[in-house]
Amino acid sequence: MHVDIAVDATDPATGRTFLTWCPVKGNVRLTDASGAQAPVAVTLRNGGAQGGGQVVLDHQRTDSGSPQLALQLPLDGSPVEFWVAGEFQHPSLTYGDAAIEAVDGSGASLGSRDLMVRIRKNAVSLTNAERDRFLDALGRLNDAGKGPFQSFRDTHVAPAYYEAHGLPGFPPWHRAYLLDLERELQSIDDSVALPYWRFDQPAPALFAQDFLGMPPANPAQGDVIQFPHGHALEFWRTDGNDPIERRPHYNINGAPPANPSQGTGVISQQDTLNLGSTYVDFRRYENAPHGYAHTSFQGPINYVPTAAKDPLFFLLHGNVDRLWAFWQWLNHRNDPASPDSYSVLGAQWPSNRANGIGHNLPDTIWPWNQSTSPPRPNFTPPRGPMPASPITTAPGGAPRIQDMIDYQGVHGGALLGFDYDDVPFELPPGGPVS
Amino acid sequence: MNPKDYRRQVEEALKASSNVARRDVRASPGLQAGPDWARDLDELMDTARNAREREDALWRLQAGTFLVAQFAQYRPRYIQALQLAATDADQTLRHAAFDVLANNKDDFARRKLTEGLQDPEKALVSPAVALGLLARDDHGAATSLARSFLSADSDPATRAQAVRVLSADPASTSLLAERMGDKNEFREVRRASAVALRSLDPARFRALAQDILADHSDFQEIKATVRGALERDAATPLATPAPT
Amino acid sequence: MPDAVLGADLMRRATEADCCRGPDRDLLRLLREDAPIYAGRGAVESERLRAFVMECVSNAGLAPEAWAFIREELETGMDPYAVAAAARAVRSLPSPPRGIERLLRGAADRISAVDETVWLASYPAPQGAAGPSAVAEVMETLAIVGRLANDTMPPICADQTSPKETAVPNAIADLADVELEDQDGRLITFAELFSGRAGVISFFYTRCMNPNKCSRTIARLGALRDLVGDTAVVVAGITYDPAYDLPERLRRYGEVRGFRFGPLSRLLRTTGSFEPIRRALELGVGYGAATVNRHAVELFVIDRTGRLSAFERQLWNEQDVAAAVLGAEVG
Repeated sequence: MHVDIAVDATDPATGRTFLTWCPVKGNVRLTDASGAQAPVAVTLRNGGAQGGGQVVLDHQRTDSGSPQLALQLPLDGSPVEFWVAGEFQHPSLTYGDAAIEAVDGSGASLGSRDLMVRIRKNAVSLTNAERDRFLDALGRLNDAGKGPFQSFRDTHVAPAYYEAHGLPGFPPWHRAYLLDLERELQSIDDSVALPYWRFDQPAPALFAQDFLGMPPANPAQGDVIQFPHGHALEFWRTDGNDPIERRPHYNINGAPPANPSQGTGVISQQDTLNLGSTYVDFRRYENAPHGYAHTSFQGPINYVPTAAKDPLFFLLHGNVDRLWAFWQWLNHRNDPASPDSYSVLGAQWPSNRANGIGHNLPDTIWPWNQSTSPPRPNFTPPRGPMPASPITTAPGGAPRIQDMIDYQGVHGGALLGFDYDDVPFELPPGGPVS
Repeated sequence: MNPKDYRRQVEEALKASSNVARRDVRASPGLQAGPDWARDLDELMDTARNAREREDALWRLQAGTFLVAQFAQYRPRYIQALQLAATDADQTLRHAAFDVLANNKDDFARRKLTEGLQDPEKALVSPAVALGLLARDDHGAATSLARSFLSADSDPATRAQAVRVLSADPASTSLLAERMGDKNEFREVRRASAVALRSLDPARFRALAQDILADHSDFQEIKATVRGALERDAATPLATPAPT
Repeated sequence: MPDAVLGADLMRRATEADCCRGPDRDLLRLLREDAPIYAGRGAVESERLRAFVMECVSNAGLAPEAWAFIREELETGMDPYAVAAAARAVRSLPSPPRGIERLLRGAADRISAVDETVWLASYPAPQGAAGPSAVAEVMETLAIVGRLANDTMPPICADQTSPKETAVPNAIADLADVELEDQDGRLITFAELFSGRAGVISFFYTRCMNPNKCSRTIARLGALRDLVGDTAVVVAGITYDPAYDLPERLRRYGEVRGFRFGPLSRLLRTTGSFEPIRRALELGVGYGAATVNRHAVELFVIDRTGRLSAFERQLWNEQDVAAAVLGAEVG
């Protein structure tokens, strides 16, 4: 007797399945009934390796799935639907360490599907293998300055300031930017998720030589990162010839300093969340802690037009996005229709953007919208449409601000295909939304 | 842990970490008031003030530059303040100011750094730092200075930064190949030369890399560097973004 | 010549007009990118010096004759000094063209995030020199122009839709034997590439820092190719920076910008020196120590006899260029 297990979040080209914390549909059907006379009772359960990713299952879309699910499979091979998600706080370490297994009443395996619970993690918690896969993909994306990474660098430039900074769209713009990069990394190695730098906590492992490195100990020797010979980022280049330069002006065995009484510095996660429970209040995090995280270093990362030359930018913004995601979850702020979830109230528009274009909910986001009409930047957008994902249809080639808010599909829309290790999927008060 | 239990845990931790309920918008007055860049500018420009306080003001202002629309009116004066700080008596403050100015490709900073390389009595930062900051502008004019330092200076950091300046100059390809292949050269300089040569003349880099790998007397570090590059070059080419 | 001496000499030439010959028109030639005073200088340094030259041109009463340079700066410039000098020069125009406000506002937007205090009274600027910001200079010009505006002023775009005859209409003949290499490493001479065909050549380099110039140029050349379709029209981009822009770089640069390659659509570099092309076409490009320090926006239309016309120092669109080159193909 054999069953076939299918899951929606499967890449049709490779057959590989990737889950986040968000439930997705699956189905199971009998492919070999082996003489059974009645519908077959099967149990779906975790079939992955010890210590690997774990899944939870349910008959409907919920936030409270179970490690096992009992189903009756018709003899004619009709598929029976179920829902599956990664079990919160049990992400994978590598592809295939998680699986959905179907067993019969005696516990015999009838079939299984390997998968990965692919989650964005705190960079300092990565295994060496996870770290190296990430760095390898990043290095190949850069390709010694010749690769597509340059187009990411060319997107975060002075003429595009008002698309992304100092205005309400700062969080959704950067969420889209990270998603674009992550999908490019996954086109190189689909087991990679973008890690984040938890900047309000010590992270010396992130700045170790095997990860993002440090400059010479003596400041008089310059600020170029000294990677070990053969490191994946050894040949990292942007703008043709520029290596990674970065010198922390704080002790990396601790976190960058914070001064909450003054409203400055890399304030803690708690203080960030305490900025307020409405979007208008919360988005002030763009100054503290976000701006101060950038300016914790000498080097290009401390200046908007050059910040994206340093790959640390994307881990820094991974945490900026995680903070927003955490705040969204904590305050139930996933519904774009609510002004508490997103609002342009109080924005100080520059003179050429009195209508706030690029920051209203229905506005498409540059560069993915490919617009060159003023007040959008009038040069060729460095990035094309948002890359498609093999496991989800969202957000589409030209995402809108509103498409970046409910990234988990809490309110029933399609999920964007990423999750953070400490931000769960939770349905809104009132129960499941199908 | 299910989300409801996790929520309870998080909310309890938040309550315990602050004296007020999480949902009360009674965070510290500083966080509510927002930045005071006018005050920060005054502090940065106050040469009678302690250098560390002035440096703190510099980083507060630099953080402010991320709020572009709000900071725009302060920017001209901020650039002037940075230029003042770049000639300060305090070395750390000078280095920080030059760092920010170099990111801005500031012409005043370029002149001061160049003067310092031409005349050590006028140097405001070390030669390695000056060359490194000048190297951030690949449209700069420091190549002849860089060649001078590469031919005359024996400090490895200075030599490596000189190579970095030259990595923008196709006319320096032969010089870079020479440094890459010289077993008597500092390993950081050889590595910087390898990286530069790979960008300027990939075919020459590959040929020289093969020579290094075949040379039993050459050092493992440079072999690791060039081997890593050749392996990545041999990997499946990446697709570039599809045209729109 | 030390910069301070150069600066003093330029200002003297601007302010001491000869009573018989009038103002020093040689100052206008110093606005060209290939003027010797910029050779070997970095890009930012060149922009500062050129901004001062623009100010001297204004002081000499020559702004009307510098209109092409002023307009180009306001349309594409990103350096605060250069934009400020152009904005100040507008005030010297006897009747600012209609539509200048749009250019000025666009320029202010481009530099607003990199605004700084500008000093144009002398060169080089003394440390700590106080003065208005570049954006303030642009806004001041806007205020002045606003007071002067009326419908009798000529519109700004009157000459933008078709190419003008160049000073070197027959230069292509001098370039017949120049060897080029395309993005795939194939070699071809100028004569072989054009060989009795009409076409378009524009110039660029992959290290260009101004996305309004080279990046836009190649993207628009790609759109031009799509517009003219499979007609026997050559669409070519040639790099100012052949030693750096090796074939692989040319290919990637074009691909990212939607440039569709083919036998008549190529991005090219000279296999030898670029100087013969620069000289023959009198290109507006200057060089620093390692690469270009500044260049104009320039596109040449070549008819089937090899005669040249050009869109110079202005942003062109592919519709106008297509009309010009298809007309040139028919002859």
